[in-house]
Amino acid sequence: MRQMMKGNEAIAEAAMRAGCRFFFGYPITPQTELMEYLARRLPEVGGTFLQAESEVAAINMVYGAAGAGGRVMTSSSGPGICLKQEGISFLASAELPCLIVNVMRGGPGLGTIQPSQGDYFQATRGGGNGDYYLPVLSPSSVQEMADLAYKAFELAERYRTPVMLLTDGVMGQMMEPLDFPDSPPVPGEKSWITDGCKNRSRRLVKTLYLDPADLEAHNRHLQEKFEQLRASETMSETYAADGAELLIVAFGICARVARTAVDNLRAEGFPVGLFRPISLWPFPAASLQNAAEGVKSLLAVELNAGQMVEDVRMALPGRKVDFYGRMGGVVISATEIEAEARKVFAGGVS
Amino acid sequence: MYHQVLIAGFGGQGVLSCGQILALAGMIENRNVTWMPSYGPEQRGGTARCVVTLADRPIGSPLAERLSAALIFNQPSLAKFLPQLGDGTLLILNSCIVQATPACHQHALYQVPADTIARNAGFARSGNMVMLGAYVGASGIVSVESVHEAIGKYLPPAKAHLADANRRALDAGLHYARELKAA
Amino acid sequence: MSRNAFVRPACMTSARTHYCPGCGHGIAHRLVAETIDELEIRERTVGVAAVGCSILIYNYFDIDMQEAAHGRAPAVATGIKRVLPDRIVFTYQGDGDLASIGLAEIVHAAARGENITVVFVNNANYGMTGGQMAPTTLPGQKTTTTPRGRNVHLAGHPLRMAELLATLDGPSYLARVSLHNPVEVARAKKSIRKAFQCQLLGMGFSMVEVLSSCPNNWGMEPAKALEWVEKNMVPYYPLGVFRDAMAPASSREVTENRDESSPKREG
Repeated sequence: MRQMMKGNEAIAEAAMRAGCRFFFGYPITPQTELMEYLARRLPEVGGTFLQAESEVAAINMVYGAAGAGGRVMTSSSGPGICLKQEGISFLASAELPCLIVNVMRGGPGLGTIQPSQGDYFQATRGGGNGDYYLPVLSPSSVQEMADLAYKAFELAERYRTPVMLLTDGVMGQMMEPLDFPDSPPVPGEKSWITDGCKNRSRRLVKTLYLDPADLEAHNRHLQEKFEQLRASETMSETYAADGAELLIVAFGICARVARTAVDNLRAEGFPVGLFRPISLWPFPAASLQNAAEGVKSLLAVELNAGQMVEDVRMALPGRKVDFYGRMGGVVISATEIEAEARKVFAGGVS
Repeated sequence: MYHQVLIAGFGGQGVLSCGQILALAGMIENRNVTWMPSYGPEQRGGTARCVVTLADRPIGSPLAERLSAALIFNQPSLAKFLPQLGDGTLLILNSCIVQATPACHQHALYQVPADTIARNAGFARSGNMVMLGAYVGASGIVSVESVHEAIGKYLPPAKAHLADANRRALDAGLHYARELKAA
Repeated sequence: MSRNAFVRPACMTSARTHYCPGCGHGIAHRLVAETIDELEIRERTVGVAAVGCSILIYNYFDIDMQEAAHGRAPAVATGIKRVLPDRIVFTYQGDGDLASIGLAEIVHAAARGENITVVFVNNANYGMTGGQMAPTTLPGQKTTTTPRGRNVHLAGHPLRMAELLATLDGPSYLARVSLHNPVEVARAKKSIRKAFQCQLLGMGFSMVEVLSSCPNNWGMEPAKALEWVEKNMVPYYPLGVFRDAMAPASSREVTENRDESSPKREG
């Protein structure tokens, strides 16, 4: 049944329908509705909601729960996600599946509670210590908030990895109609969980490898997994890209605003298209290369000082990629993007 | 069809629910809809506003980009948002509280004594539904039946008994606007 | 005595421990292992290893285990227990881990009455990193980061964890024991067993603080180190039971009376 929901609530409801039964978190704006929703709903389905004493405790509860075989999630915003990085690095190394939601706000530091995309680097480069990545998915509609919550659990369990949903305050607060996917993802094989060694040999969930050779072997194993993710799990979308001379690249809320700009510019006769990465890590470099073929100019638009644009430039070596961004909780308007695009067509942007 | 409406006033005037009911009505009519509130410190500062977008095609920006209508519930909101409106925007003021300024007349202006109409319709707290009714009457953006249904969907079971009072207020607002339009 | 009286507990592996000569971890491990054997819970126990000398505890226990980040064992144990409420979950933590970097986690797990058991080994210094000041380092005690002795005006005072947690309503069992002589070891065993029993009965959080020696980092012969525990640690960290929800109400006052645990009790 089609219903209207806030983005934050859609993630929560979808996670529950995807079989998530454990939530550990700590209040922070602008993700609080998500945990409030689960505080209400999880007990109704026999799940556990626990407000932890800190972000650090919350992510480590996620670690314990995931290691015990629970389908588990947490959510936070920038300042809280920083604190969680300790646990995220451990989750990545111990290969424990879980969903981590970052409803981004402006930074650095406490910054503002208004929306931002300033945590792109932190999310897509691992964020914690050591060599690791985690899949990062970026929805740009309330429907996609739900769809990607499902997808996140599927990826998490298939690849035994934490997965991050990277969204922002606008996406979290806005309401749109949505339908929930039908059935929960099939649980992955869990022959590694620690649930008591009845009729089997003991198991360990750990991240310490004191012997350098062992640790390197473990790292090589992780890197192979990351390679596999890069090869098989990129997601992206193009809009009005056919015949485009200018390709705008944007994710999340910026992609929504850019879509309006594209419509307006097309109506004025400017051949503009949009490329939207959905998986921010792995970055859909090959799809972008395809979309950029025959395009004269590229413009990355973000709510930060220029983070995703580095991935765009790495995907398109030698190509000039312009950038337009706003920071500090300011959301870019379609009018601003249109103005930037006109500058590109006028050859005015260096 | 691509229609954006701003709804702004004080917290407690039913501004956000007014927008959600409109969005639900759009959903009932199988339109694409978004409802975007302001959030953050403003929530606590007494002002409330939201932007509802209704469209036949997929909606890009959920933010106020090109407003085709504004429902203004208080004076500070008029001062804040009037300069942002393009000429000819459908402008509906709750005239019990908001005094129209000369610049308002550049727009398709409807001055609706929403609180008085609500009281006369028998439910004093339904001024927001009078405003919504006036908007529907003036714009025809959604059918009144869809809004009636949306009111039912919006109200939680514990408040279901308020549906009819809200619908009566909506109808009163709708008729008021139609009469203004005809005049 | 028959040699059979001293066999390896069934839930311990045959691995040789990496602990230094005279270290108390071997004894504390054994007490936990004997408890698991006696309660016949090996196949439904999940242990949580903490950062510190005892992090490799999972090499010595033939049970499922998770390894936690520094200080986070009670949070990890909380996650495990919430998913698997019918399993027996315990953490084994040192003093730096539990009382310093993990203070929030242990206090809140205790406050929640989380139905887990904590074995807390207090040896008054950071062992694994080579003898730095711990939150439990005694006033005046020399460590590599208090080379002139712990100056409480600069470095603050030690934490008495059992007493601190005894101010909370959540815990069902809190005790401090010591390993400095066989009589105390036998008492320690009883306390650890009781702590696990509390969990089995679903009574909520239980913790046993175990005073132990670290001869290597203290720069002492093992026997001297045990003496140091008795002469210096026990007076500062009185032994005794600080909470016992299993005890009959009438005897509770007595068991919670700290005087009972004065060092003189030895004689």
